[in-house]
Amino acid sequence: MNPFPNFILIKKSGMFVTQFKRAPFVRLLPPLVAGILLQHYLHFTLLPLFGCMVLATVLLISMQFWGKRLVFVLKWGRGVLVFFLR
Amino acid sequence: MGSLALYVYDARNGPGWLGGVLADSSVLQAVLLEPPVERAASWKVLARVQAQSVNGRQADCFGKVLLYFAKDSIDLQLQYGSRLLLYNKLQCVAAAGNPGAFDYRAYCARNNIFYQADLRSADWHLLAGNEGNWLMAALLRTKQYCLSLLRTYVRGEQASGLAQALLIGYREELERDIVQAYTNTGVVHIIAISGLHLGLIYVSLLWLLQWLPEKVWVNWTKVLIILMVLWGFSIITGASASVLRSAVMFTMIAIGQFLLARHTNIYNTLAASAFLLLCYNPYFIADVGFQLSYLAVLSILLFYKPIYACWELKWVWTDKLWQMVAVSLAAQLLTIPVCLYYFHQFPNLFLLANLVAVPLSTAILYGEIFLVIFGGVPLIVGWLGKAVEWGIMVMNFAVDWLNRLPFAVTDNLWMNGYEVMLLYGLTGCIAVWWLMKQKYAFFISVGVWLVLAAMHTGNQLRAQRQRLLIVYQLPRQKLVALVDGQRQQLIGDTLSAQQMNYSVRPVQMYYRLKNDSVAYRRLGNFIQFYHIRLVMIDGRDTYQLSSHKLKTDYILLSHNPHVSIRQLTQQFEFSAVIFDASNHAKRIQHWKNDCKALTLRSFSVPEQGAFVLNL
Repeated sequence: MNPFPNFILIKKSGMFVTQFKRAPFVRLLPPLVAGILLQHYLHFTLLPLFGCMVLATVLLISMQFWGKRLVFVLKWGRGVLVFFLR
Repeated sequence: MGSLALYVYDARNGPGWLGGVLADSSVLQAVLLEPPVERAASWKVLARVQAQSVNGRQADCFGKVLLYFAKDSIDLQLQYGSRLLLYNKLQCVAAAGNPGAFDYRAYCARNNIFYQADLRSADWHLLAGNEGNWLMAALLRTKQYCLSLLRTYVRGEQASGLAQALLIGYREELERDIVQAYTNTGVVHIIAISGLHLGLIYVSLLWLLQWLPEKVWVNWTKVLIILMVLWGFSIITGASASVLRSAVMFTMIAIGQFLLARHTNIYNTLAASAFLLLCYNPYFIADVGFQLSYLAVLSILLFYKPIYACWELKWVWTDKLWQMVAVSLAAQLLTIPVCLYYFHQFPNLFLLANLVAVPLSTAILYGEIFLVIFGGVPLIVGWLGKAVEWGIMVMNFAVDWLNRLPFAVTDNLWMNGYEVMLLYGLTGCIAVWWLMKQKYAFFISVGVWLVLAAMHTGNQLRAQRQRLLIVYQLPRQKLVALVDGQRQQLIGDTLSAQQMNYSVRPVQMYYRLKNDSVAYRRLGNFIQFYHIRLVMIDGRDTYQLSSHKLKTDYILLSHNPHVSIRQLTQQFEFSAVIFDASNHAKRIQHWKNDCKALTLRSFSVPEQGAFVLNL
């Protein structure tokens, strides 16, 4: 018996990732809380706030198109760093 | 978006913010946002400043302020929406106070209140007209009607106070001992309006409206009635975070059930309600009621079924009993760490107390609802009032009896934020290991437990090595504590049990203090604790002047002594002077100005909170 009927377990690269069925707000809530905490501790003024929002939007959109390439670049970047630091 | 929500919510970022334009000699125009509430020495009311007038020139400004009217100055015509003119006597809300104690300034700041004023009759003038919202005024009149009914028909201060708290969350007439007993036994949630109340109303409304036919317009009417009653009740009770959580969730459930014909995912509904409420007021995130409400619901959703499935019972009544036990156990799993963090105690008898108090409070609540409905029929209301009174007396007796048992509560459980996070990690890992049969979670939980134990031990060792000198912030009182490890010595005025409980105990918890009596030297008003020397000058005592200058580290001035700072410099050689909260604000200001002129260090306890010196 699955004790959590609202969960789906996805086995992904050896790790279990738990997701909720059809629950968009469950995914929206953590970034909202993170934003509130950031503002509470860092006290951004309006300009950096809008700047961050624009940057986040651009990043999200570009991740949709360039996600795979970005991962490729990051992997290569890490490889290069490891090579030089070693 | 979270950052933007908080930025927009914070009144200090708005144009015309009171704090940015406030002039010393201004006259303010304010509107009362609630009816005045009686306190021991004053009437307290929340108001919104709308404009200020400086030298005859009027300018718009806004900001919420707390007004304290002296008892002899209150005008009985003051009510919600009343307009006032008042001289600018605004001061910043008092500082955090003592370490580990409730931070009132931060609490007010989260509600966008940064100023308060003590007003006498000459400081304000009532203007004609009322600017209150008609709907809010109607709801407040309903609240007053309910309160007057309960005061009339439920006799006895204790029973009446609890009845008011149970029905509409009005806690001004609730006795503190009763609240403490309910807290100690883990049933305080029944006197805090929450999902239980709204759930009962929702189920009752569904039952009352079930005879209506299944048609589209009927469904719309049903939803409209349900929402009006639920939201009306929520506003009457003060719209606390837990009530709003329930109201938003039931709104979504009702709309999903009747208008969209969909069964919602309860996790999504829970998250959506949190999302909406945090967009409305981002500081709900720091509200204890908000945190406990969401954690309790999430905990029940996650753990109730697995716990209930552990034991299959054949008899219906034992099965019902087990269901209640399983709900109580499930609710505790995720709320324990937060409760330990805020209240530093664990109610050992919560299961037993909940088994008694939850059914009783449900019956009492229904009784109170009928009492309000039949308010115009004296015969029925009289009997209902008696029944409610008896029910409350039985519940109070049971809770009080449980509270008096020697093992009722485990207290002095201090946890910091990191320990709470680790405790949640531990709970999560054990849950995954137990319910999902994941072995790796067990090993992680062992690791988390080791880190938690190491952190706890480290904190304990630090507490054993600490040496502190503390001057408490207590209104009109002098109290100094010398702390050596986990022992302390209190020197100063005799305090009431209430002051000990609400002001001294949190400090003891914060520094993990256990025993009294510490070795120190005292000669008259001179104290030496290790290498630190303190001179205490009290306005109620008389002193002889010394012929030569004495060396000391700190001077503590209490109870308005008639000395000037210049006189002190002639008598003593010291590094700083401390003014405690037993002195008048004006005198402290005078001393502070003198210190500034003489380039001396000073510390004002009423303004800056308790003075804490690490030796």
